[in-house]
Amino acid sequence: MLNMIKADFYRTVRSKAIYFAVILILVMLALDIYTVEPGSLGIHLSVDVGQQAEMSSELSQMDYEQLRALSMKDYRKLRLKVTGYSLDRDILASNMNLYYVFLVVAAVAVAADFSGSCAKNTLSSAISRKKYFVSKVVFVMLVCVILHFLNTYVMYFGNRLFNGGNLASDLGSVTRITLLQLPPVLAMAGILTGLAFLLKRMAVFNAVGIPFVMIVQMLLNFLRMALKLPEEVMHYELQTMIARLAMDPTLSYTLQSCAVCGGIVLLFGAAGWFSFRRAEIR
Amino acid sequence: MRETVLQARRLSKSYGSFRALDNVDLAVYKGDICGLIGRNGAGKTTIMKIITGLAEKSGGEFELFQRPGEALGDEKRRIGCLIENPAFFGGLTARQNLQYYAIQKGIADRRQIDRALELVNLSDVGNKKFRKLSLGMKQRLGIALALMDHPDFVILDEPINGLDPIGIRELRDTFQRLNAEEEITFLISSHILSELYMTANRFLILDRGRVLKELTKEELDLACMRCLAVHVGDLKQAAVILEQNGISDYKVIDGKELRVYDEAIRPERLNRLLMEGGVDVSAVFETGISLEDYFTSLVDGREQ
Repeated sequence: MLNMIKADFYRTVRSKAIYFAVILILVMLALDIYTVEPGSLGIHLSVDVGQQAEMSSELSQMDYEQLRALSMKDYRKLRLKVTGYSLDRDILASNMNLYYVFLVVAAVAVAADFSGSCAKNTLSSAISRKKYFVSKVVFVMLVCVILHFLNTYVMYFGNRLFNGGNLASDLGSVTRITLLQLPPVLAMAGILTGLAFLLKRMAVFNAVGIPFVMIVQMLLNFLRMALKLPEEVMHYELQTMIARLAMDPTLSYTLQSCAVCGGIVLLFGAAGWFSFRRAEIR
Repeated sequence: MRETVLQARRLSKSYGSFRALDNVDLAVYKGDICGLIGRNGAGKTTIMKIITGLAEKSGGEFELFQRPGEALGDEKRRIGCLIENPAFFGGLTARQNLQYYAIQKGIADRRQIDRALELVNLSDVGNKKFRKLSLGMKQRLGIALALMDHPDFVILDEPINGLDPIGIRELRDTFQRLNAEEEITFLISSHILSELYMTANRFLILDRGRVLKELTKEELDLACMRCLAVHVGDLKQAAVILEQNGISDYKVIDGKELRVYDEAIRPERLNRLLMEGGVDVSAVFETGISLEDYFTSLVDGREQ
């Protein structure tokens, strides 16, 4: 199994897709750091869990039209004057964007194997299905965790370098947030690996994987309203968990999130495994 | 008794109502180059997919290296195979692709990659990306992967597809040399009978999911050889008459037919000898057919 993981690392570092994923992270971070405002890309926070920053008088006095008229450079200047605000913490709260980076990882590691029929080379003469499945899950999770940490520290040092210490937390805090966010990160990796084993073909995987979290969010919201469920239900949706775990969560919430994320990993792992276990490999 | 590498008993596979394999019994012995002959859809690839674990059987059982096939585990490494088309990662070079699978299999000696490329004459294009290789080169790379790591049993599905005549001959020589020198057992499927005939030493003829015939190369030669076939009432008496007349190169085929392979014997003389000896002769005719005709007659016989 270790050999499988090593081989996947060998292949992944020779694949353009992973560099595309890293560049995507860097571009997202660069924009967040430059505009001094996260979440203007991709999925925005679905619930307001942001910090109550003390806005500079200039920004707080502007209306929407005036804000829109500002150039990016001017907007940055005004944002830099904001006090009592940790940009890095806010950027970590919007880490759901990493889902699309993780999607690339799962596509390269699993879907490409099935789509290009390369899985048959491995399964016919190297390894059992069980070991193949477990090693792929472990590999995807491992790479996602590496990218998650890379994202944190590039962001942290980038923010300090370009924006100074005024908008930065300390290294211990961002590390703590990164660790707290591990369960939802692993859940995202689990969802994507499960989907890749379930759907197998790259085109189908992309078609389902890309809108998947948004559809789940919409469904949860719909169910909450239709069944008159408490607002707290949405606290256990992935994007909200990522955001809330970045904002000094309570111990009980942290543990509940761990349990929910564990459940997600198990659910999608089971779906992927049962679909793959007896499937004919083409 | 010869050691079996693969033994299948009543192996079946159904896709919905379609029965791709129907109670197949077969054996591949150590040291064989076993040719799997059959039309498209006969079940050749299905057999290969089941024994390599790429497809589930619907019934029956099989053993690989005298162990239940499903329980093979890490012994899978003793198998090298190329099933259907060669599949590799287009963005990696030929060598990197082999390196990837070498890491997977835990092959520490990277010289095995060079050896495998050399065996299929791909050493010169090892650094070329897979997607840029020609069809024949891709096929050879698939064979190189199957031959890497000194397998005991190599399973090749239509390995000569897309190869030029020189490439075909080179590969045939490679298979025969590996079989002779390293005792590698081969199971090779093809519908190009003449090529399979030149490579294999045992044949399994499949049609519509059933094994129609299992025979050695000698038996196949005999079945296809030009001869005189004679249908007689009393086989024992006929054999005595042939022996008395110095004709010893003959073979009893079934309860009423024997075949004489002595080219000097004319049909009219054979008929006269038997008649004079009191043996009823219902037919004397020249026979002997090409491989294609033999295969066709087997398949047609089943269809009728």
